[in-house]
Amino acid sequence: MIEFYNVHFSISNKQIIRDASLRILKGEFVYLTGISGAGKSSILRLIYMDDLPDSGMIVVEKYSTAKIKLSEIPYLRRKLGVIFQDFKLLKDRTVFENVAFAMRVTGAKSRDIKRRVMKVLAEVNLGHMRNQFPDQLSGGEQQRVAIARAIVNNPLIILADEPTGNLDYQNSRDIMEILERINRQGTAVLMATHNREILKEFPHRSLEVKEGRVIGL
Amino acid sequence: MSVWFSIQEGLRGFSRARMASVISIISLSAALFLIAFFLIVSLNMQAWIGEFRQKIEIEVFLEPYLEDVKIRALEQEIRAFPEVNVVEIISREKAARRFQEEFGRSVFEVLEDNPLPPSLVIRLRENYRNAPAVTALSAKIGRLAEVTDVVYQRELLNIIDHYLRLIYLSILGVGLLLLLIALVLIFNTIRLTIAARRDSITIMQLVGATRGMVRRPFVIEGFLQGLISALIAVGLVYLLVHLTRYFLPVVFLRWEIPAIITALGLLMGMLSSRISVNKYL
Repeated sequence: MIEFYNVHFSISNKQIIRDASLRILKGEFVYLTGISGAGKSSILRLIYMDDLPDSGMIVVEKYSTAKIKLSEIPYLRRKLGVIFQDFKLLKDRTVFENVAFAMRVTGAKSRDIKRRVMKVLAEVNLGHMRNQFPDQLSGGEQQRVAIARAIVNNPLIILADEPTGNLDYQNSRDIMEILERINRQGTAVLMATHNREILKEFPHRSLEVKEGRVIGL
Repeated sequence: MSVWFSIQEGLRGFSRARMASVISIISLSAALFLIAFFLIVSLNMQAWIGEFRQKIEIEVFLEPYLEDVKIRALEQEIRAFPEVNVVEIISREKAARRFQEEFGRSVFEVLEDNPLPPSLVIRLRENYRNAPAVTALSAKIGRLAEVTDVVYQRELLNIIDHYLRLIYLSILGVGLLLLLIALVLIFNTIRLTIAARRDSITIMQLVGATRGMVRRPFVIEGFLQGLISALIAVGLVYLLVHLTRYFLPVVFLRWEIPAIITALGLLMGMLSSRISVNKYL
């Protein structure tokens, strides 16, 4: 479903990714490990095509960096759910509105939005907090809102960039359990992390990023 | 994404960045008011100059004892010139009456005979109310038989043609300069308000909003800012004209000026938002 073919990528002459090839299948749960600055986030950004490779090719579902038009990238992103360490929630909107936002841009009907948002909020155990604002929530709760937003459009894969990076142990475990549950329902997960405890406790296939190269473990 | 959602988003952005919106609106309404002010000044200037030009007369003095038939024939001839709008015959008797009106004494108190010659007073068509046309016409009339002298307000014409035009042009120049400064100012203010909302642009893009969808709420917001600014500016314009009339009752306002600044406000609001948000797309 996601394939990298000899991808090279650099930012202002600094080589970030060197000759990376990888493959992630439908419904897989894959870790992207490696120290900070190794290029994990860059790989995720290349997948949601916030950046395009200097050379090589990335294929995500039916979209290929070789021939995608800029105007098609939003449609690719609707098939992906992205989660960040810093949650990236809109602070002036309620929990419900933050999640609904991702559906509104797809042009969904209000009635469908309401039903679906309530459903995903229930899945992350936040139904009762739908009218709260992000600042009224704990870090773990905010990340669960972000997850709800990521899955609301039924994505093929969740891209998670250090989703537990700002959370304590218990909250990290909660997030991992939610991600695994989502994964069991058929959504692939690609998660960048350098948290060894998590890797040990929730074992899945790992890809290590080291000095811009991807090594399968 | 529905249009209604875009409108809601636009309104939301508007109330969210309240301080920035207020600053944008203040600078935009100030600029629009300035534009309106210069439009009013130049419009009134133009009307004033037009009125001045309307008063331009050429007085053609004829042989003192020319018969009425010949005077009327001459009047017909001059009236047929393309430059001429109205010709008025000032007979010798009328000239005497005018003398008395102007100087308060009858010519007959001083002299036994009326020395005043008959004359024709010519008013011009609009396109010929300028110095070169008047000079040319005067020369043409001066060559006619039975015409002894042609007189017109050379000074007044020169003032109108040179100085007033100069003043008018410099007002226009200063106005344009101020307009340019205002445009840069507004553009920067709106750009800053959008820069402050990069996070929401990023998030919109992450969840798969197309460029148009990201842009639309900002453009709607710009439209609203333009609309409010225009209303403020129009209000100020009416107030200004109303107050000025206490001192200068001739000052007038045409409906086109509020219309122009409203259109300009909407256009500037939407365009600067659009250009600014495009930088992040």
